[in-house]
Amino acid sequence: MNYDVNLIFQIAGVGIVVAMIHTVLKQMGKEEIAHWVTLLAFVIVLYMVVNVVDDLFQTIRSVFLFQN
Amino acid sequence: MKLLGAIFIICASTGIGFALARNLKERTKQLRDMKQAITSLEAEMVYTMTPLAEACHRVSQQVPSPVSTFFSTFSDALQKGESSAYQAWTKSLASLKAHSCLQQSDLDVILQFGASLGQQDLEQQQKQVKLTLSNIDRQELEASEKQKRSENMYKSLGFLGGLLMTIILI
Repeated sequence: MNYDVNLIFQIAGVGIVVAMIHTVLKQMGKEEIAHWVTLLAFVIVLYMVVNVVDDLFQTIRSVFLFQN
Repeated sequence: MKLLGAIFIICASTGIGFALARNLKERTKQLRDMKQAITSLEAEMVYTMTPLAEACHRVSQQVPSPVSTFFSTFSDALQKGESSAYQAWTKSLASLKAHSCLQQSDLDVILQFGASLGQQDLEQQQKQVKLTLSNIDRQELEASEKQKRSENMYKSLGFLGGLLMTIILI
């Protein structure tokens, strides 16, 4: 159950940078690109946490469905 | 080692951003140079009645680099006398396209001016010059507006994009 704390910092960094990119693009009047960037970053972050989420689901299954 | 790679990535993407921003700036500047060149070409034509090749040679000494190369290749081609003015103009314009930051719409305006070059009398020619200058003016206005809007965006986007890439890769 000891996860890498680095992952959290990494996600936080991505969040901060993407928020800044969003602000810059929005100021220049390219809002649709800004939204696409945010969505893309969300997908990338989702890929980064997919292992952890998988682990979470396995744990839930093993608790409530009495498997393994 | 990781730090070194991160620094490389950030430097590269910041460089790309600055290069793009510089392109925008150069376009405005080159349009202004082109305007100045055509104005002085008009002066050569109207007031001293210099032949086209020599006039272009003189103009090429008055303006800064990419535009001056354009006019000097044009005047060289004319002095060799192997092609018509329009052909020489088109050929020099192709080399200008490779070496400058001008966009296709700017080049079209200049090409249109070249089509009228050396075919009409002085008065018609002057009208053409006036038309071309107003067209270039419009392009320049559009270019400088675009520059104002996008220059800082390219710079900061380059840096932030590099930062994002390193954070994801680490």
